[in-house]
Amino acid sequence: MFTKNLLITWRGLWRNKTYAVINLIGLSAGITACLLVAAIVLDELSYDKQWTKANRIYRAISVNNRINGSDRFPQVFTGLGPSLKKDFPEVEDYCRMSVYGDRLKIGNNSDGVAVQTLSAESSVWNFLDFQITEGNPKKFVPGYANLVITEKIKQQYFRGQNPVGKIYYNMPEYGDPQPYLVTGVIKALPVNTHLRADVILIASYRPKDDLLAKEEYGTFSTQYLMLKPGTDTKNFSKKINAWYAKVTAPNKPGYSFQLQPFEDVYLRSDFAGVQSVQGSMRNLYIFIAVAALLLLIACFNFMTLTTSRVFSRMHETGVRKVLGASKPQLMSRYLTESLVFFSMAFVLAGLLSKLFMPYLETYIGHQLVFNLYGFGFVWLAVIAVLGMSLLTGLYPAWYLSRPEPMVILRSQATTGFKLNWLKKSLVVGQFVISIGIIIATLVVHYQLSYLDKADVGFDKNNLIKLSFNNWGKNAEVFKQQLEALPGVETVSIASWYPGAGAGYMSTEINVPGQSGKIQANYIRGDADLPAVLKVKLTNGRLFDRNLRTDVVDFDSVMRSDEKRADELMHSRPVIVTDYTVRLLNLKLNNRVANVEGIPVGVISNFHNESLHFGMKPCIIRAEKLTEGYILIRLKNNHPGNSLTSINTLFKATYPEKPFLYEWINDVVNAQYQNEAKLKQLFFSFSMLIVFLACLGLFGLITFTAQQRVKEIGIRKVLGASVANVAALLSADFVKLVLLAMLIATPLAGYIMSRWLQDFAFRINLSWWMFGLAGAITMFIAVITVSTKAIKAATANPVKSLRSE
Amino acid sequence: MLSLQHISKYYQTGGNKTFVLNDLSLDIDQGEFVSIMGPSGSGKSTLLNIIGMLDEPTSGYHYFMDQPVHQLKEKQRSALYKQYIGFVFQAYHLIDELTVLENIETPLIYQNIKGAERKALVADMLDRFNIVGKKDLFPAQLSGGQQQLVGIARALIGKPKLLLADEPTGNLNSKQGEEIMELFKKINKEDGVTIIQVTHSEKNAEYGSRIINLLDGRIESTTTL
Repeated sequence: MFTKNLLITWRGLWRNKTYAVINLIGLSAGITACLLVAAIVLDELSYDKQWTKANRIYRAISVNNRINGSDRFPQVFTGLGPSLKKDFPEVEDYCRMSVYGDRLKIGNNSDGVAVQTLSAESSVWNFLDFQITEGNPKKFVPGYANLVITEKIKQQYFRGQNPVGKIYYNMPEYGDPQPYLVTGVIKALPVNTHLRADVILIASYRPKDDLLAKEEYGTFSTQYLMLKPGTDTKNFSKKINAWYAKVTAPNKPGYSFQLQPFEDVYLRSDFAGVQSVQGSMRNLYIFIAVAALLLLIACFNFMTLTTSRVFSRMHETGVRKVLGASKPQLMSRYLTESLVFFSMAFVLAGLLSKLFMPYLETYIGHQLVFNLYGFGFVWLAVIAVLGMSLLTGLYPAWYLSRPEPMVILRSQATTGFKLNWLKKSLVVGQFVISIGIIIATLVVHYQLSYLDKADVGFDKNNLIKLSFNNWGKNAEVFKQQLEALPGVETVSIASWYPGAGAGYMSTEINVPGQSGKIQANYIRGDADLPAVLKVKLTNGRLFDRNLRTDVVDFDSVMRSDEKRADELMHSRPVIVTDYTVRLLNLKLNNRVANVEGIPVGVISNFHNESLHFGMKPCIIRAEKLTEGYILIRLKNNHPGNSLTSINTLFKATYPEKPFLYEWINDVVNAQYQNEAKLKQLFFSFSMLIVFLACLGLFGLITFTAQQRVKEIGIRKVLGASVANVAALLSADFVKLVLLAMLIATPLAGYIMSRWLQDFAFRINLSWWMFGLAGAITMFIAVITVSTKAIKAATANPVKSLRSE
Repeated sequence: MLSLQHISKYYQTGGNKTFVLNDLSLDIDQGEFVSIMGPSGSGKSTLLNIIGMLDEPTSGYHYFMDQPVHQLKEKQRSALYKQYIGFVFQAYHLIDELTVLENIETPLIYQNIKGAERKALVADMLDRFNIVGKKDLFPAQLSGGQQQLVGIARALIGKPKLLLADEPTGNLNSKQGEEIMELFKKINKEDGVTIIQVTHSEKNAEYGSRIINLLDGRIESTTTL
C-alpha cells in the first residue's frame, strides 16, 4: 500500500510540475531558514557549556548602589576573590581573567600581530580545560608574564621553530613593550566561549592587590569564583554581602555583589563595552521568532496549495470511493504525498543550508560550532519530517478525501467548496506576518538612517583617530608637523574620542531642585579639541591655545604644587553643552562648584554617547596633553593621500610604535552595528516571507479560478470583459490583504515602538510607514493574483461551459 | 436479488417538495439484464445510484441480497456494495495517474486481497478483455472504447453479482457502443451477472431482457423482451 502510494505520488509530481515545484520551493525555503537559524540558536546556546567545571564557576558582578537606579558592571575589586577564598570554605578558588586585544612582535609585519589575549592568573588551569601539547605551562615561571600560545599561532608564526622558553615582546599602543616568556603550546580554545582568545597570558598579581580596602577604593577586575559542589548560590551571595557590610563598617557599603553563572555570561550580560564576545537573548528570540514564522508560512502554503488541488483530486477521490476505498485509506494516500514533499524539501534544505552556511558565518562573525550534518541531527530531522508532514498533511488529507462519490456521478457537478474561514485566516495570517515584517524592516531602516543623519553636534566625517599613545617630548612638534601636512585641517591630542563611551571620566553631581545624583561626563583634550570636533558655539568662546589658562599642564603642576593644582583645577575654563547649562542652571563665567570649573563657552548639544542614551551633562576641559589619542580633521579632498603622508610622518617620528588609525565615522557607526545586522536580517527575511506568502496566494487564486471556471464562462458569454473578470477574482484577496493590514498595523506598531524605546533619540512612527508596507504588499499580492486571474479571464468560455 | 418498495426521493424547496422519485417499487431477479429509459430528469440516474447505495432515498424500503439496506449502517452498506456491486460510468472515470493494470487492480486493494492473488486475477481479466498489450499504458493513451473496456474490466474484477452502468456508451461512437453492448450481453449470459443500465438509446436498451420506462419519478411502463 505504502509503496503504491509512493509510486502514485511520484507520478503525480511529474504530472503537475508547476504545483510540485512551487510547493517544493516554498517548503525548502522555509525549512532552510529554520535549519540556518537552528544552527545559530544551538550554537549560541552551546557557549561555555563545554568546560567540565562550568556549572560551579560564577562571574562576580558589582552593583553600585550610590547611583539612582543602581548600576551593574561585571567587575569587582581586585581583592574580593582572594578575601572571599580566605573567609569562605564554599569558595574553592578564584581567578581574575579577562580578554583584551594585544599586539605581539612576532612574524614579519613591522606593526606586529594582533592577538586576542586571555589574561589570567595561574588558577586558570584549575578553572578551564586546556590540552597542552608542548611545554609545561602550568608551572608558572616568575619574573615574566608567561605566554601560552595556541597551535594555530605556532604554525602561523613559528614554522620550524620552537618558541617555548623564548622571550617575545608585545607592541602596546601605549607604554613600553613588555617581555613575555613563552611557556607552552595548547590546542585551540573553543570558539563557543565568551573567553575566545588566541593566546593565554598568565601573570601574577601583587600581594597588595589581594587586599580589600575598607574605604572602597581600588582597582576593579573581572573575576571568576569556583564554588564547592552543592553550594547554594542564592544563600551564598546573601552571605558575602552581609560579610562585605562588615568589611566596610561602620560605613554602609557602596557596592554589593552578585554571582552570574558562567554559562550565562555569553548570552545574559547586558553590560556595555567590557565583553568582547557577547550574544544576546533578545536577538536569539528574534531569530527563533523569525524562523518559526517562516516555517509556519511554509506549512500554511503547503496546506493551501495542497487543498487548492481539491478539484483535480475530487475525481480521483470519488472514483476510489466508488471502488470501495475507506476514508483512512484515502487519507493515507494523501499523507504519503505530504511525507514525500517534506522529505524532499528537507533534503533540499539540507543542501541549501550547507550552501548558505558560509554567508551565515560571515553574518554572525565567527564559525559555528554546532554540526548540522551529524548523525544525531539526521535522526532529529527524520523525526521532524515525520511530525511536520503528519501535522501539516492531516488537514489537506482530510479535506481531499471528503468529496462524496455522488459528486463525480452527477455530470453537471456544481461545487460545494468555498474558500472557507480556515483558508481565509491562513491567508490573512500570512499577510499579517508579511506586512508586519515589512513595517519592522522599514522602521529599522528609517531609524538607522535617522541615526546616520542625526545632528550629533560634531562633524563625524573626514575625522580620523590615532590610537592612544604616550607621544612624549615630541608631542607638540609631531602635532605641528601633522597640521602642516597639505590634507590636514586641524589636529588635537585628547583622552577621549567620539564612540569611546561617554567621556574620559564621570562624576555624580547634584542637580538643583532634584533629589539624588546624576552622572555627568567629562571630556578632556587639548585646546584644539572643540575646533577639531567642529562643535557649534552658541555663546561665549571656544578654547584658545594662545591663552595660558587653556594650556595648563596639570600633570607637572600637580607634581610641584598640589594645592595650586587644586585651585587651578576648580577655576579652569570649561565648555559646556546647552543641556548642561539648562539642567544645572549655569551662568557664563560664573564659577560653579558642581562642575569643577568656570564655563567660558556654551555649545549646542552634542552626542558624546550613542543615540541609544539620553542627554547627560557634558563638560569639556582643556589642558596640555602629551598622551592620548590624536584626532585629525582632514580636508574634504583626497583623504586617502593624507593618510599615506600621515603614516610616513608617524613612522619617521615613532618608528617603534604601530600605526593604528580608525575613521571616526566607522567608530560612531559601529555603535549601531546590532541594529544594522537586524536590518540585514529583517530585509532578507521579509523578502523571503513575502515570497512565500505570494506562493500561498498563488495557490489560492488557482483554487478560486478553478472553482469559478463555469461562472467565469457564463459571465463572459453574457459580455463581461477580461478586466471585469480579473477584478471579480482579485477582489476577495484584496479584501483579505486589507484585513491583514488592519491587524498588522497596530501589532507591528506596538512592537516597533517598544524596539524604538532602546533609543533615547528616535524617529516617530508615522502612518506612511504602515501605508508604504501595506502598499508594497498589496502591489505584490495584486500582481500575483492578477497573473492567474487574467489567465482565467481570457480562457475560452466555450471550453469551460462544455459539459462532459 | 433486489427489491425496492415505495421508494421516494424529494428535495424540499420552499414549501414545495420536488420529487425525483415518487413512490416507486421495483423487483429485479438474479440474472436479469434491465435497461432503464426515460427523458432527462425522470430520475434514471438517481434510481441507479440508490440501487448502488451511493445515494439514499428519502423514504421507502430497499432490500438487496435479502438484506434491509435502509436499516444498515454506512459501514455495512459499503461492505455490501464492495462485495456485490460493480460500476461502469459514461465518462469511464479511470484514475489518470494509474496504468491500465493498476486501475483494474484498485478495487482488489480495497477488498484486502493479497498481492499474488491480485496479480493472477488481473492477468486473467486482461487476457479475457484482450488488453494485455495495453496494461502499462495510462488512460490518456487509450481511445474512448478502450477506456470503457478498462472501466468494465475494473467493474468486473471483484466478481460482482450486480453491474450498474450509467449510460456506458454515451461517450462512444455507435460501433464502439455496439461492442460494449455485446460484451454486456456476454457477461450477463455466461457469467450470470445481473446488469442494470441507464440508457437513452432504444437500440442499446433492447440488448436487455426488460426495459423500464421512467417519467417524473414513476415507472411509466415496463416491457419484457
